[in-house]
Amino acid sequence: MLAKKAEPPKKADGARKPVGSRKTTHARKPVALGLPAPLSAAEQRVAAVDANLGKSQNLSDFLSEIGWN
Amino acid sequence: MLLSVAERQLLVDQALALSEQLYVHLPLKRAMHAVDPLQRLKLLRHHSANLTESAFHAELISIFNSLRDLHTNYILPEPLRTRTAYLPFRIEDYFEGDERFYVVTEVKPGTEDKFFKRGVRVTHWNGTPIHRAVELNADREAGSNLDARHARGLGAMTIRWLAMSLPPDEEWVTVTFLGSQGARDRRFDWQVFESEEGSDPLSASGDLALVLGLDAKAEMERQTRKLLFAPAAVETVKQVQLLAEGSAIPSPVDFNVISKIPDAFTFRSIETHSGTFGYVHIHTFLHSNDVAFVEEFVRIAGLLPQNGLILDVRGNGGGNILAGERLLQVLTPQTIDPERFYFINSPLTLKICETGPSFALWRESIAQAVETGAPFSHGFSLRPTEAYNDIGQKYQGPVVLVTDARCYSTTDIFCAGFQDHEIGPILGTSGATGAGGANVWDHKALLAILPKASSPFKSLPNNASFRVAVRRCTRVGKRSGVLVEDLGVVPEEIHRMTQQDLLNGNVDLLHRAAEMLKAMRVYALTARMPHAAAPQTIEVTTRNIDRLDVYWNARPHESLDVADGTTSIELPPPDSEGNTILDLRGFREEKLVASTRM
Repeated sequence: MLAKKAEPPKKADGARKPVGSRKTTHARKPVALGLPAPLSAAEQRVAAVDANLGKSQNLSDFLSEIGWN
Repeated sequence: MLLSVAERQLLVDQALALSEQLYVHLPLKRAMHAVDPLQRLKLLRHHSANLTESAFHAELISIFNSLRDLHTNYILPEPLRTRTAYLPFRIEDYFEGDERFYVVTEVKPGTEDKFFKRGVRVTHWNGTPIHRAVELNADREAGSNLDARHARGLGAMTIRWLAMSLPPDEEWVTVTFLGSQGARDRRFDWQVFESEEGSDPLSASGDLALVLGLDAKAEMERQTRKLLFAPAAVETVKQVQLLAEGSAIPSPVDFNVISKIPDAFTFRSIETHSGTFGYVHIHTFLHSNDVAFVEEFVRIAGLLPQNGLILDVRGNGGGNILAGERLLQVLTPQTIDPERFYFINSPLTLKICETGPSFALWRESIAQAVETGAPFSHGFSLRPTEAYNDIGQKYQGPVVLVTDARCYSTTDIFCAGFQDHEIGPILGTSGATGAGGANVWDHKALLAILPKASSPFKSLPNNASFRVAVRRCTRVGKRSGVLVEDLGVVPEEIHRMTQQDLLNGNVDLLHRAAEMLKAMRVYALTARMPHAAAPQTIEVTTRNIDRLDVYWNARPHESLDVADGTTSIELPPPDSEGNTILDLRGFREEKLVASTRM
């Protein structure tokens, strides 16, 4: 099932905040338009391990699929 | 359902055939572990139709595990065969005094948080004290001595290759751990991934399949740990593979610091309180080409300090027996006497030995068993003795071998050879190595060896399989005839791993090994031809050697007394076939201490 799309947060008086009006608490690094943000070293390690492992699944799902129990 | 009732019965029949007629350790295992696998298999066949899928496989695995033999296994069918269950961290144990503790040593990238990270001490596992949880797990593993069982049990806490282990009963684990901010719990779900094609340690075929000595489960655990925790090492293996295939790679590989067989070797110089020494870790002997394997070791040893070498084989589950046994020669001036291998005497082993020249040596004694009543064939090495001495010594410095209870089979055989040829002392982190003393064949190899008409073996469903120890081995030298199986190799000295070792690059272990090296004498014996125009004049440099014997084309040529420094030797011309093989043997107080061959 697809996750329900999140609604914009409400103001104290109940009115919806306009999308994009939230302030960030820290400055973000500028990212070239049209390019994905470069991965940090830690993110690269996560991506490399995930790529090496391929698709992982929960043990319980796997055992149900093969009719183990 | 993975298997029909008929398929289950076929599996049990095949298990019976190989256990009754091929399994070389059956008499030993019956005596040592008081087990009756044949009767259990017959009962399983009788009940197989009434068991659930999981109960059938559980019983078949349990029967094989009762043998306490990591060579002799049931391999579960697809899709279990290619799946590995894991938790995203590794725990290892260390000692403070006589008390054992468990610590998280590796965490899958992306799993850490501010509480759960490398270095936290694990105290409980699903509410059970961790030492008891490991003990219970060890009981389900097939390690043949207590140290080996504990090591296997600890490894299986977080990685289970479903080809050879049952899936965990629990779907998740709650780990209680002590970090800098006190005790906490964290829950981890068991995950499953599918192995890449080609990573199956059971995929050996051809000649390699007949000379294997391997704990396949340990090898799979090793590979899984690399995938989970060492993406850089996985990348290096891929880069070197691409290079070997002639493909372009993004950045050059420096073979002065990286092995050409990076899955098997890592190496570096290490600085210790006792001096600077070489360090080589042999992670596996699983390589199809034993010649290339030994050549690569020689290349690596040549890059390292020549005054002493720490050779680390911890965690090495074995592989190609020829790679392990042939490697010994480059570390010693002694002639290598390889281990002897024996079949059990049965009509089936006789039939196998009648199939061709590979096993012809064993045939006569098996045929005689009808009259002699001998339970085992005569013992022979896997190859002629010359094959283990064709290169000779290449590293003349002292060597300390570092072992643990996860060393198995080919690695046991290598360690036994190291000790039996008195190459150097063994520093163990466990009381003995894993104690696997045999050559193992799998069901696929058995199908290939025997003509179909006379073979009791039949194709198995869904890629299920079996492995069986077919030739047991015995040691040589002062321990001639002693079994490796179930006994293992006992180190000269034990170093219990410390917390610093686990979290700071084996620092205490390596310092101790370096202290041992420092106390050993360094010998050197090198030769060179100083003038190309006068190839018959050789300059020999010696250190700590008082006598030099010179052999020219395998014949004695000269024996002279020497002191430290350089000596010139005049050699005869080449023989009638143009051979110019120079062997130099250096002695100290009448004991052979170094040799070199040109």
